[in-house]
Amino acid sequence: MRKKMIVPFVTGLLAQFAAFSQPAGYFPEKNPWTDKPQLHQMPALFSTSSAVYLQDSRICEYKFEGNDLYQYITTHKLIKVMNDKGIELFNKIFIPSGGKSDLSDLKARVITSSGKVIDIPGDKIKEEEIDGRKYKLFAMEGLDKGSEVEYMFVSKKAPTFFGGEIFQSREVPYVLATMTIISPRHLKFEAKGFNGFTILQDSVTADQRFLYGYTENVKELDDEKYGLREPYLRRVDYKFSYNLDKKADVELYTWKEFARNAYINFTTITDKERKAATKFLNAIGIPENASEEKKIQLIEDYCKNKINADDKLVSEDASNLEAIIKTTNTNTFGICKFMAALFDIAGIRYQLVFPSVRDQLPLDEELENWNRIEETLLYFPGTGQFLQPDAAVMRYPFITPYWSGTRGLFLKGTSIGDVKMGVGKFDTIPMIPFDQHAHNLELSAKFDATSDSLIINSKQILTGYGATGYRPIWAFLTKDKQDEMLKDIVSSVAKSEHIENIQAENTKLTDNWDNKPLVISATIYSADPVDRAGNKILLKIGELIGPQEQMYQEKTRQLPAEMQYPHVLKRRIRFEIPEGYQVKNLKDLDMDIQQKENGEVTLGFVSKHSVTGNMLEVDILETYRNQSYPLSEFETFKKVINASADFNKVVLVLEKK
Amino acid sequence: MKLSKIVPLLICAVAAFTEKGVSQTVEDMTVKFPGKMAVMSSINRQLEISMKDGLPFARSSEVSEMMILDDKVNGVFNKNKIYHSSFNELKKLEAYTLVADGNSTKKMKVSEFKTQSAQSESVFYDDRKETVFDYPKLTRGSIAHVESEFYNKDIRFITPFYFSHYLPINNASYSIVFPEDVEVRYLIKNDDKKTIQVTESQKGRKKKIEFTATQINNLDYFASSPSISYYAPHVIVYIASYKKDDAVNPVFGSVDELYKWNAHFLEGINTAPDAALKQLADSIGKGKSSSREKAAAIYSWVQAHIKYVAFEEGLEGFIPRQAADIYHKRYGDCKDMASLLTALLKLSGVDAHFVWIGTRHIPYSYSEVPLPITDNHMICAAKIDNEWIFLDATDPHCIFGYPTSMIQDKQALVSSGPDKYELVKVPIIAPEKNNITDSTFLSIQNNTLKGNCSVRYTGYFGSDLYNNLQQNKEDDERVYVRRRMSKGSNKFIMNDYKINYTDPAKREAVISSNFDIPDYVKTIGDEIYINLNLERLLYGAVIDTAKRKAPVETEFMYTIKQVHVLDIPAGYTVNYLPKNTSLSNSFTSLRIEYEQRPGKVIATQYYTVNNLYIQAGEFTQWNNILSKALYAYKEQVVLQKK
Repeated sequence: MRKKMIVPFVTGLLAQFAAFSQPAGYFPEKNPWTDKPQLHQMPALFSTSSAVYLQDSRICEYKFEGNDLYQYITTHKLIKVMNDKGIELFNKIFIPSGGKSDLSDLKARVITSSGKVIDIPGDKIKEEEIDGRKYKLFAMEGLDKGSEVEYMFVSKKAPTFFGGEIFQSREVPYVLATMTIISPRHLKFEAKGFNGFTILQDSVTADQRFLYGYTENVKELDDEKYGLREPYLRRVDYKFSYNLDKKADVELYTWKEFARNAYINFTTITDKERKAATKFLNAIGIPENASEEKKIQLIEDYCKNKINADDKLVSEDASNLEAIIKTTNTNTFGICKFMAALFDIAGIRYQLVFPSVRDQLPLDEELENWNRIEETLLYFPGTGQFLQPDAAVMRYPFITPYWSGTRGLFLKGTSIGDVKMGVGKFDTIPMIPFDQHAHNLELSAKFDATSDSLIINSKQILTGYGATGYRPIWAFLTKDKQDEMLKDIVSSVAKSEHIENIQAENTKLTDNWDNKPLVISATIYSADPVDRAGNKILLKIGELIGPQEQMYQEKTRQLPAEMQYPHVLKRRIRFEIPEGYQVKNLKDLDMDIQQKENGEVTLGFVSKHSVTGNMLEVDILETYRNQSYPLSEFETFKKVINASADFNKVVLVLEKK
Repeated sequence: MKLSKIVPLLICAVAAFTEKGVSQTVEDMTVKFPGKMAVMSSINRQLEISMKDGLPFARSSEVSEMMILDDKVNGVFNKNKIYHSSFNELKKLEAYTLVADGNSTKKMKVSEFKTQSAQSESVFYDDRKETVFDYPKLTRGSIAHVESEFYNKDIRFITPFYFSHYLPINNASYSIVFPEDVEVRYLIKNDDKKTIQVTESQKGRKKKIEFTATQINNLDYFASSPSISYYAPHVIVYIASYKKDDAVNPVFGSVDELYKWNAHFLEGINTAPDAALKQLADSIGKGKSSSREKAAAIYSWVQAHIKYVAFEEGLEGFIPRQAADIYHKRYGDCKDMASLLTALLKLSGVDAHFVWIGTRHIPYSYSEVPLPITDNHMICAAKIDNEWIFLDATDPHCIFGYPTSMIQDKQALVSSGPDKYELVKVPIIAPEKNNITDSTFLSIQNNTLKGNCSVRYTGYFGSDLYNNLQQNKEDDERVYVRRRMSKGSNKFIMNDYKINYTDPAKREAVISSNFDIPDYVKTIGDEIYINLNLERLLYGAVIDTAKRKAPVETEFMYTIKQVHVLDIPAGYTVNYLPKNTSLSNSFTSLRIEYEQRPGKVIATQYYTVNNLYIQAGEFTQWNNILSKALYAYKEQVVLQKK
């Protein structure tokens, strides 16, 4: 049977299988554990891999025991290891055994390269609990090059009606991965495959329903610079959708239903909680004539300064508003619920929003896997802006960049009679426009009297997300650490132990409100950018823009380019050419790489120079207008990234006239 | 590694009694500790030793208080973790916040605690636990109070007390109360300025030693620094002996006693003959006549076939497993590898020994600190032709004859029987035995520098290379090799490469590659400018001598020689050749030499690191040599059209 699993799939038969629902012999039986395991050949496609999953199958079975429904998940993995790296990857096995599930029938063995079978005895399997999750862990014995690791376990738990499995790894390919969902005939599940995972039509027997999915020959997918890996993983999600014994045409567990439930969870509070929250709100002292936006800002800031939101808070009571106010501690859910209550009491219209976070597995609008919802935002229809309750370092309207420029499930509260309820709808969470995020630089430089070093007046001007990354320095660090960090930031212009007049303006988190520029300025005395060649001076002017990311020699690109946030970088360098000197290679400063769309630059690095008297001026504009660039534009993207790194290498040669 | 479970967990293990009588206000503390967000107002540990059923028994209680000085700390200090294990059993834990409420204070008790497995980096499984909780309401003036009580399962494991913390400490004290029949000794480490006061007293039959210190700056962490036990002040307390029925029973107090205790873990290990092991030893040793050859082959087999996986539950952290068991399982920790090595060597007639040792993470020697805290590692040593060879198979590519770099210069406790041992100093491998020799031929095409290089790696450099290459395949190998070859600028484009494993036993290899570095060369008018220091071998940051307390640590000493031979393009001549540079001090030396030959310019860099540490007193020397080197590295060669 196992041999069949790795027989190459004939694609022409796909349609047929879809009709007949299950490719014969492709899916494991409930117990794929054979008494006499045989070794397999390493598949030619993956002959150079350190290890390969020959088979990874999950059978998720829902069944009644008496009147109670249970969920059994059988996991079976068979891995071939080919070298030391492969052995190191699979000689230690960690199995998450869930919070409330019973893990049984755990079997593990090694089939050594000589065919000897070594079973791992049950008493060598250890247990650990980390952050509320239990794990089983054990080491594989006798593993050598060419051997196979096989393990299988069944977990039984109260049913959850959503699930998902990923069948793609950073370093180990899969030959075959299968997913089987078995349920009582009247309970119908739906599944969706992503990025190449195939779902077959479901089939029924007298009392059971079967849903199959599979994928084959899945190559590794590793992280890439400016790439987001999660959305591109080969995987499957499933959910329970219809109870055919009841209303066969009514879909269950929809996003709408989720929205109704979530709305209740987030907004139901007791009178006592409401009273406590009202008192807390009154203490903020919001001016009566404050605008709605101002109110939002003041409430958020006060709340974030007073309340510690920690997702790992040790408390059963973390989301009770009275407890939050009393202890000033809460968790992520608690802080969202608390802020929602404050805005409600303050009479500010808001909506709860569950974003499809760009660097995580996305929320799918069709396949309603409720488990994919992890994060919460608040949206204010009155201002059109968002707020992130659990981010202590962010202030309105800035939220974690990967949580915007995406879709999200918006919960709008409506009243039907006296009953308030939430209506859910997918909509866009817009990215704050690109020109609001800048990393600008203004430099003026001249030689000191010795001509060995430069005196540089440097000003870094950061706005939008360019500034939000730095402002926590002033919010959370002690003065000595602030100074250290500031010195590091300034030294990106030129390495130096002699820096004077370091100043930073608009350092408060609340400077986000009006997007005030964070300005970091200093006078740097540095010999670092100056090289010598006989009687000539070499000025490494390109290094003054700081070390730039490069992509000169990369592996074959798999993922599109994704920016955390679109932005611009405007830089102006003014350099006083010393008396009696001339520069011959000024044209090296001029660079121009641009990509345009509808007449607008979407991507570019343009640098131009001019000379007035003895003053050299270089203007550089680097643009990343879009949030993402498809693979087809990747070459241009790379050129622009590399253009800034190329600029780093520009050296001016100063020689006596 | 063994013993990891009782290595002190500094931040959490320290604790305190509230200062008696005087309570310091937040205003006082703000003045005393300007610019700080919080301070440990007091840290106190009391260790009480008593006789229980005729044996000494240790119990420690710890109380600490942290005062919040700034409202900015919301969320920063709320979480606390207390670590414990079967050796250091947590018996009691209480915590509360004293919240400033006008002129009085309000006590808010912590009611919820969560205990879970503590994770450690190198150990796959052990029984260490952490108990986590959150302080409520930490605002300016609040005091976070925690008190705990531990039972020491074995009086041999008394955790050292550190007079340092990541926050400044106002008052810290550590006291030991013990019956006069018990002999207690102590050592104070890293306290040159004598900030720790010691008071000894006796009341009836009970003795007390108290260590106190006040106004201690917060501990700083530094890059390339050895562990804090090298520079943070701390006190090591241990029980040398106790009296029972008028007989003096030694515990620890000399290496003899420590050895006796260590040696009892070896009882019954590898005593039963095992046919499979014998067969393995014979097959590895086949055709090899000398002990050295056999030992090298056995070492290599164990390195290649046994993977590092550590299980440490209870005494598993101390007792090596049976060699036959490890052979069968193909994995083990350091002790297990030492067990298999020792057994196989003995079966091959080689004089082999178990060895306890502390890695360089631990600053102590056995002679100075004859306690279990002095070691965290076990290896095997073979005596061949009257020479000790240290065999540590936890590094799959350590060279036979080299110790692993992490145990260089450490004292080894070599077992020679139940009562017989030897203390042997592990050598430091000389810089000339760890080499990178790089010969590169360069030519100029437009502004691109083209090169052919051949780089030879030996010693620890070779081991490192073999380890990395073993972990890389296909694309990753190319990425790794490019990183190793890369020079000149980040625009380095590596074309072809070839790895030649010239001597696998000695982990020697030569990587050759050809490359382009676009835009590395400047051509202006009739002149070409090129910096032939394609790599700055002596490189680093200027050390802030006022701030840095910790020495700078290097993994091993080494020598690098780089020869760059540049073809002078046709029609050009050398217009300027930089002067030679020669710099050296007690821990490093750098020579840059330029030479002109017909049609060629040769630039050679020799760099040697000849000390494992740069001590605080030598930082100025480092800064001096660094600035001179940076100056020399700026020099460019100028070529001119004829």
